[in-house]
Amino acid sequence: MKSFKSFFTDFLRGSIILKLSYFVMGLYQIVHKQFVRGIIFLVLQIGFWVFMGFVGFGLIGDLITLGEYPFRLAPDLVTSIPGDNSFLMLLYGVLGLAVIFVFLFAYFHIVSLSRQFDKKKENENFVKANFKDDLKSLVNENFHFTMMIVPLIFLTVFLIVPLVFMILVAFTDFSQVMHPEDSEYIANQFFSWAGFRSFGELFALNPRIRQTFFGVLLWTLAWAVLATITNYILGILVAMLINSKGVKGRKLIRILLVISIAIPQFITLMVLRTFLDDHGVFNNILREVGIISENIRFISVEANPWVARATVIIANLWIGIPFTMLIATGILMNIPKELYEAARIDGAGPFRIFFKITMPFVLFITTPYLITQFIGNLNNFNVIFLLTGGNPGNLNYYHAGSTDLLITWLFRLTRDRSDFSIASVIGIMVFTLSAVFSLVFYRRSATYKREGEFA
Amino acid sequence: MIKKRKTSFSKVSLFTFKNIFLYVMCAIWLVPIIWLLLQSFREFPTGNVAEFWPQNWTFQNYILLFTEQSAVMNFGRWFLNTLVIAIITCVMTTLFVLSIAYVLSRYKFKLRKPYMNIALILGMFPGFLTMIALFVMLSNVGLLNGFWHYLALPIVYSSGAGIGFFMAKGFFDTIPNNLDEAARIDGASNARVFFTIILPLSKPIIIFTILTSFLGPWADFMFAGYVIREVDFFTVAVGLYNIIITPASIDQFFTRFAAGSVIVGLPTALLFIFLQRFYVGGVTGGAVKG
Repeated sequence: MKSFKSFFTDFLRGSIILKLSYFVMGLYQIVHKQFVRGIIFLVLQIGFWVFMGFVGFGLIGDLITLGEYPFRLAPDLVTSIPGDNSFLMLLYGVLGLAVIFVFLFAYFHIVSLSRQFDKKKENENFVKANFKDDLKSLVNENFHFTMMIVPLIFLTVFLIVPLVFMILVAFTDFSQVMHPEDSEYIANQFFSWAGFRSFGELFALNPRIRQTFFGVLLWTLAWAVLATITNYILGILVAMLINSKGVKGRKLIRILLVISIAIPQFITLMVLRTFLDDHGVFNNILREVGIISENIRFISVEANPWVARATVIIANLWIGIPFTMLIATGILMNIPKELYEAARIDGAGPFRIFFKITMPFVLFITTPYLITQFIGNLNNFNVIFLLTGGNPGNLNYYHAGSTDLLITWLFRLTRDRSDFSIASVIGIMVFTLSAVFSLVFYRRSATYKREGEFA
Repeated sequence: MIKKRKTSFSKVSLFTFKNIFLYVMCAIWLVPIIWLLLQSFREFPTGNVAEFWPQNWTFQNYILLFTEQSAVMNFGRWFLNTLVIAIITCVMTTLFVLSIAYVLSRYKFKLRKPYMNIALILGMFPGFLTMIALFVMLSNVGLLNGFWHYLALPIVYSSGAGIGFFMAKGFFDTIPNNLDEAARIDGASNARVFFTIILPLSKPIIIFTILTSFLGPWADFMFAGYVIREVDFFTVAVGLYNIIITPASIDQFFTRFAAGSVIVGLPTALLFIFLQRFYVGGVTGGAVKG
């Protein structure tokens, strides 16, 4: 804010050259004999305005209108005229915005260079930097700029721009049914801004979508809580059991347990899915042992929703327990031995030691881990998508199944239905959920920390 | 005397019970994986997916995997594709992660805090929201054609480095600042400090970054599956996932899926087991510092 204010006060106070260089970038540098610098700045500005003139303003205009004509018939009523491509207009509009933001950033930086220069000039010891020094500074004072620039460009173009695009889609009526495999069809889309219409549909207007949203949301929360807690408690118990006295071959046990998370999930979970199939091995084994007489439908389309949900939570232990075990092992080894000694001298029994020392210590260290696990489970796409694909189907739901999480439902809507605007509203909801939870937990764990260090 | 013997007896039985419990647990944990291994040696098309023990054993699945080239199968090619993509991704990601993490750990520039907050926020958006837009962007600039895939995927994978630097930054934070200071007093430039002092001290995190970024493309079936439409340029994850996606194809391809999974899973599992000590240290170390 302060620098923003001085941007204007410096303009009023500064020399006429400085004033002019607010409008002509590089002028200040050229006048003060920093030719290379000045010319680069000037070229940057000219380039920007040329870009804006030829493309930029058009892009922004398209972004505002998203095109005017849908797919329509020509006057002869036979040939068809393809409609405006709102998809590309929106996408390129966002890219154009990114270019404008980058330019504005450069502009403010260059003006502030001139402003600093203007102030320092009055100082006698001030040494003017030439272009060679500029280049040298790229490996010294400005080394951070050199190192950050390429990753930042990548981040902007391939992550931020697509993300902003998708967030903006939530405010359009982009939801035509089409074939997902057909890329031509994606490229021929006409849609327009619709404000908060999709938000309204999700929360209130469309009863079926609303019911699905709240149903899926509830299951997502239940799943996240249950999956996190079961994995956490059982994982830590197993880690402690492995660490306890008298266990032979600790390393081997750890490696054997960890194999289930060492292999990529698309393999392990697809194997588990086939394993638990209606006519799969697991059913066969159970039948031969004599536990069941008829095959259980665990995760198929016709399975009982509650059986499927329970199966998913239990099956998730297969990868969850080793994961927590891995983390907890490191922590358990770091518990100061003196704590145990002291407790033992004070006459504490094993249970007392567990509840008074081990658990608080583990809980203290793993609180952040618990938070990230919870957020991770809210968005646990792989387990649900690969294991059940959201099945069993639910007829009351809008293209969602009984084990679908918000995130897998979102994916279904984009893949099967091309309900892009509703899908991106759900995406925004998923984000809001994650952000709120991590903020709340983070606050609490911060106060937790302030209460004093453990041990 | 009697009492003592009694306790030692119950202790011994407790120890055996613990051991038995843990090894039984390991056995249960390995059942699906052993089954997968057995399936990869099952003769096709005899028997079916539902049996645990193969009726007839064969090595044919592995041979077919590398010899068969059809409209849906070209595993040898997929393997090479993934290898190339993984190597390029690994080089780019490692460079990006290290530079960003180092800058954010050492330089106190104005936008440092805001940038780190933005990175946290961006990380909370579901990743595949970007897939559709990325597909259109990449295909419109022609990067989803033939060998350009080798560039398109690494670009997208490594762009995540801008928000995935937290662990490496946590590591750099632990290297004492006075090492840099000393070198700077001796007249070393910032670039020199980074290359000759910081990097040699950062072997663990460099190895960790290299290996994790190398492993990524082998496991990604989502994004790669969405943007790659040419069978010849599938990665192993996309190819293997696609051949068993429908119930009908499970019966036909499961043995080959199993063989392919063993070929992909074995090296990745070994790398992961090698990595786990970095992983444990990194996750908890980073977490404690917040």
